[in-house]
Amino acid sequence: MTFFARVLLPLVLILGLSGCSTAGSGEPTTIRLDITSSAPDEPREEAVELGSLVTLVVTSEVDGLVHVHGFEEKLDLVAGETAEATFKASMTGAFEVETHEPDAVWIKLVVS
Amino acid sequence: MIPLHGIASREDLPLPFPLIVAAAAAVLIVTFWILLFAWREPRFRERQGREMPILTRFVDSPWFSRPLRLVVGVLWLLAAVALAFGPDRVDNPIFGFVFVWPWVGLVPLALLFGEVYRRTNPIRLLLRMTGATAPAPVPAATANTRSRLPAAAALLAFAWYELVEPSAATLPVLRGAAAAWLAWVIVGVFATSAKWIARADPFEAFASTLAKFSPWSRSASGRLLLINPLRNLASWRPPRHLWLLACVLLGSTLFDAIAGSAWWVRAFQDSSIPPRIVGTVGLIATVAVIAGLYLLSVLPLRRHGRTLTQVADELAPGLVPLVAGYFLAHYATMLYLEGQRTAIRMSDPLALGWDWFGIAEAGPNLALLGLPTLIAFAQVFFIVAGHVSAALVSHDIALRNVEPDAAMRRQMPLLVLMVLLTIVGMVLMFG
Repeated sequence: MTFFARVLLPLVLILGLSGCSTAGSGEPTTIRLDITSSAPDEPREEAVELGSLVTLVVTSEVDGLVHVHGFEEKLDLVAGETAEATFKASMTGAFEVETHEPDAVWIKLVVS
Repeated sequence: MIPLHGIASREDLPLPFPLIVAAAAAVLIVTFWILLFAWREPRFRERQGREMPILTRFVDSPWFSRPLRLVVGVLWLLAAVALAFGPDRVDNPIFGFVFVWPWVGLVPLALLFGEVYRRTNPIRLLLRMTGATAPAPVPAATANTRSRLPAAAALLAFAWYELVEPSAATLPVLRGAAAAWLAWVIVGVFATSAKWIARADPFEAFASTLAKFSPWSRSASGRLLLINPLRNLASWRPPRHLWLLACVLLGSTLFDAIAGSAWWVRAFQDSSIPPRIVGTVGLIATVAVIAGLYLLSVLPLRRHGRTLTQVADELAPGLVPLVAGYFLAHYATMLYLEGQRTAIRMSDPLALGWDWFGIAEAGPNLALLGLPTLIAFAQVFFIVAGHVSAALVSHDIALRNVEPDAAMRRQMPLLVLMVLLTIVGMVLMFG
């Protein structure tokens, strides 16, 4: 069936071409976040390089939980204290860093 | 306040702008090339391909179909257990099971393997004693062409639930939705006949529609047919109201992209109107606009003795590749990441620390998500390939019953609409 040749060949070509882009390992990055009792209007955007080690340092006015979507990092917060988590930015995309009380997205983490 | 989503934890990076421009140019050139220079006689009217007698015997034998149904049945049973007794948290596998596996996963499943969902539909398994199981294949000539309006309505309800309902990812609400789905299909079967499932079950109607764009069909004698997917689709005698079903699918995917775009969030996050109302109006308006534009665009192809909606149904198979392209472009990475996570959570349905499949330790494979160029190219490939297939199928159908020269003029609005939808779809993925 020439049909399969026609469909599969471009797919293979695309795979081959794109496979060339290498996953870089960037510098370690530290992102600081202050959680207040009032939510921000819009999340702050933080860009990091694919493969870099990201340390999230969070100080909070309130008790609660910070959740880094996608990487499934969860940080328990105690009012007045600082918490931190380190994870590898191992996939590209945009990920939200959010709290549930108050319900808010604080950071849009862009890994590229 | 920004609504917090349940299941999608990752967004794709915006498509690179030069790629969009190049793809849009290719779409324009190819579309008008098809219009001006492609074949002038319909060539996909007949359902023909290579008959596969041995494969047919294998696929139709109990040795194949029983284990397949058993595995799928056990998966649904596991999901039901997680739904009934699992924890009310996002890591309950039921959310990924509903919003990722069937909803997104059945698109590649249907495109690659054809009518798998119909033959393993859990409702058909439940209703075996009423004769609802689909053991025998349906030759094209006797296919059920009764109205798919119930399925279109159910799909709209599902899209509303997934995209609008703020508490969709909580257990009590999902239990209610699952009960409503079962009641809708099962009560309908007892009130009418087993044919109701094909007409009204949103998942089966969706999967069966996409299966018509797969390389698999059945010959008049019931044998498996390896067939050009374009011919498979163009030779389909479409059921009534297929055009509405296709518009619901296109409209809801488009609405998902619109609702995720920065300007929509900015416009409505601080508004005093409740998000449920904003979302409901937005979803219905998007579907209505697409349905209205589609009807307008097939208006010139109307002919003596046929109503507008009949013509809309005749041409509706041409919309199916657009649906497939949109779905794959928007949700393929979500299927990859959340599909794996769902499998991991599925091996511990009650969150008791089990790891039945032994895959929890490793975590999901993220290799593909480290290749943003590949993802962007694949997304654009899906959209462009879907568009080109849609244009070819529509062209072939439009040539029937109309003089070639007139057909060229009359199908112009439909092709222009398709170009518009494709470019809007890509621009939405840019920002």
